[in-house]
Amino acid sequence: MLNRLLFLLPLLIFAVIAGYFTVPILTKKDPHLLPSVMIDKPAPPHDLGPLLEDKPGVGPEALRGEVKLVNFFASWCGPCRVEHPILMRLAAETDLPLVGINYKDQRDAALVWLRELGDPFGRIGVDGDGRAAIDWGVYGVPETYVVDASGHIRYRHVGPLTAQALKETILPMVEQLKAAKG
Amino acid sequence: MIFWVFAGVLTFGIVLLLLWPVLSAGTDEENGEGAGEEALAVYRDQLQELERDLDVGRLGAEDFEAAKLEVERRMLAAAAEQEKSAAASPQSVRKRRLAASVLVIFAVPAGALLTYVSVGSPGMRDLPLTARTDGAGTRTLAGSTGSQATGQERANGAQQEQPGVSEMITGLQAKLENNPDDADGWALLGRSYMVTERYRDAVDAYAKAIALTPDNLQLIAARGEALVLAADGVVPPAAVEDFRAVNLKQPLEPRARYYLGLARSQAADAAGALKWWIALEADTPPGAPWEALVTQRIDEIGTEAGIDVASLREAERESRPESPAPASVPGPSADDVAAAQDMTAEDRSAMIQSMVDRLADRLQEEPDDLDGWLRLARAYGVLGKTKEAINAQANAARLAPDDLNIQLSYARALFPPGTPETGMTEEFVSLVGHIRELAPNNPDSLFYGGLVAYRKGDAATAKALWSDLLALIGPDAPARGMLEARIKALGG
Repeated sequence: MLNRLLFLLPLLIFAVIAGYFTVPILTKKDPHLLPSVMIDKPAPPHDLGPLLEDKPGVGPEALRGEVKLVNFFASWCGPCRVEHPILMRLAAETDLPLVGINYKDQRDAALVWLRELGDPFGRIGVDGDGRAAIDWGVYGVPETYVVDASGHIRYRHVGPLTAQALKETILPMVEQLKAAKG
Repeated sequence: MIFWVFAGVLTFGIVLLLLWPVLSAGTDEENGEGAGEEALAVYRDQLQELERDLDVGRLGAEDFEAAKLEVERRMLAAAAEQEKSAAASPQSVRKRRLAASVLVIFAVPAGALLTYVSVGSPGMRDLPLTARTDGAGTRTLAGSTGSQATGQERANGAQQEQPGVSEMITGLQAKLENNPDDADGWALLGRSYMVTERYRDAVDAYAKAIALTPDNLQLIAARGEALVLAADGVVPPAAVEDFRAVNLKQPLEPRARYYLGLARSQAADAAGALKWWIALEADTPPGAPWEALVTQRIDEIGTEAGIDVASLREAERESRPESPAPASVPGPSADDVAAAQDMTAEDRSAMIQSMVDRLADRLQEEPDDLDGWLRLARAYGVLGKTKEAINAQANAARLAPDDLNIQLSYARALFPPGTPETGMTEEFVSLVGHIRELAPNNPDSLFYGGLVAYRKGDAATAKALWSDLLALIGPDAPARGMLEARIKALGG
């Protein structure tokens, strides 16, 4: 009898795990929408060295003064490639400052990547070991944050930027923050 | 090598596991003998019982004899059976065991080897951790550390599939080393790299060919495409530049228009992408290889962005008076179209060429066929034959002097966007004069009028016309910035 129960054990374990994952789906809790604990808190004051010789890195001061987007990217990340043309367009067609943070990347690979796809960023910091990303609460690249003029994180977008997210959430929020500041 | 040692050890282990029950089956036989022994013991017990019954008097002497005889008979039968099986087993069982062992020893490794050779990939290279930038097993996307290494890997992969192409590449490389000024050679090398999916190398080869023949738009478009493929489908800025260069000189070239639209769509600019693609779709001859793709893309992006594609298409169609092909002009038949789909790219362009030639010949004899000239002009535009396209447009414009759209198409052909002002011909100047009379308030007419005035040094007129135009176009018009810059350049 006990032997039989032992055979059922894997099935029971599976049922428990499946239940754990199914409940959030059934209750419509999108894990991506879980509010970050960092929202409305000051951005972590890391001093990240520059990736490029002719472009500054990202120090604590760099995050203050203007409303801006902070984008975590890496050359090995496929979705980053997908969102890159959107960042390029933001750089070309708006005056919204873009701050890049190069996440756990090889320097040479990142340089090749930017040369090939274009560099939309005003400044790029290197986060080689991912420490800064942990403090920002990054789940995985790409991730984009709206940081206001006082250096507080106001919004976080997980995954590649989309036309919809940009139009419906991020850009309106940027406008709102700019107006609040002015 | 290490792999084969591992595989060998594992196979050996499996063979041993399978042989184990066969070789250790000796105990089973003893069990069989034991069973015979047991039967005899039972019979012996039965005999003793019969004797006890006889002694106690429960059994008559006669019955006892009969029963005893019966048991003894069975004992004999059992003993005989046992002897027989004992005599037979060593040989037959040994034979069967031998067969099973041989089968296991040979069939298992042979089967494993055959399966691996046909299903596995013995030539697969190692993927050491140092060569991966992502830590996981995914392919290096950007060719990360050095495009050399990735290119080499890819080349090796491709070589196994297409030995012919890789030999050709080696031959071409050697030839080009001796004769680096061979533009056709570089172009061919670029195409071969494309076939073997070495896109970065293709970009370099095309760049060499373009440096030697800067006017070859097909090469520039090909390099743009290679850049896109090297970037895993993203249209990078360098590719946009290439396609723009092609589009400026050949506004109807479909590949450049498609990719320029794709670049806008990747930049989340659905309206911009639709502008390119819907115009391209309207210019696409039925049955063209890219027709389905463009239509599908338009529908997709329309749904995604919630844009009413049908009305945009309608507007595009209305802006082209010449589009419905009249029955009098023979178009490609259904057979022609079907045949074109089975053709190689070269055959197909040859077929298009011959159809265009047929049309051109016919128009020599019937020079008053307006629709024919318009069709020919567009066909030449698609083929990139600018001079012939202008000639066809001129004939169309001659036949329809009062049709504003045809006159404007002619003007566009004479003076395509991006041409420097110094490239303005007398023909163009007089044509613009005619257009100004025809439609003084048409935006194109205003723009061209301003251009001509500017060229003649009449800044005041140019400024007046362009300011009128600026007031006419919407605040979001893409040309606005360009126009404002031009007015500014005129001085205030």
